[in-house]
Amino acid sequence: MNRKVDKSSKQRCMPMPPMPAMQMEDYQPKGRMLAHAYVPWQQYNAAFSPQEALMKGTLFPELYGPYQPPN
Amino acid sequence: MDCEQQMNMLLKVQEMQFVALELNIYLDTHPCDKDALNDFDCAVEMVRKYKQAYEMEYGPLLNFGMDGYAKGTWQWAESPWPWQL
Repeated sequence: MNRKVDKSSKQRCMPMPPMPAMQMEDYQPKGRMLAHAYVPWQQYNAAFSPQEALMKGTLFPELYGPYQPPN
Repeated sequence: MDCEQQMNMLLKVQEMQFVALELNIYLDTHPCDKDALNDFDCAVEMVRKYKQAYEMEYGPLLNFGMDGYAKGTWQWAESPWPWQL
C-alpha cells in the first residue's frame, strides 16, 4: 500500500457531516396519539404433558404457535 | 447394552427439567401463583428422583456440582455421552 492510497482511504473514512435537525413536525400529523403496546396477562390453567412440552418447546398451550411450513 | 432404557431414563430427566424451567420463567413474572408454585416444587422433586434413578443405574450425570461423590471409582468419564445413546 502506498501513501496515496492511505490518504484517500483516510478521506473515505471521514464521518458523515452532521445532519441538520430534522423537521419532524413536517412528518407528524398534529394531535395524534403515539402507538400503545400491550401484552395480555398470562394465566396458568393448563399445561402440556412433560413429553409433549419438550417436543413443542413450551409447557403452555396458549404459547404454542408453530409457524406454518411454507408450501 | 440396554441403550434404549438408558435413553428413556435420560429423556425423563430432560423432560422434567424442561417443565421445571418453564414454570421457573412463568414464576418470574407471576411469583404469587399458588398452582404454579406447587407444580414447580413437584417438577423439581421429580427431576431429583429421575436423576437419582438414572445415576444409580448409569453413573453420574455431571462431573461435579449438584451430584454425588466419586465413591472410589471415576465413573464420570466412563458412561456414554448423551449423543452416543
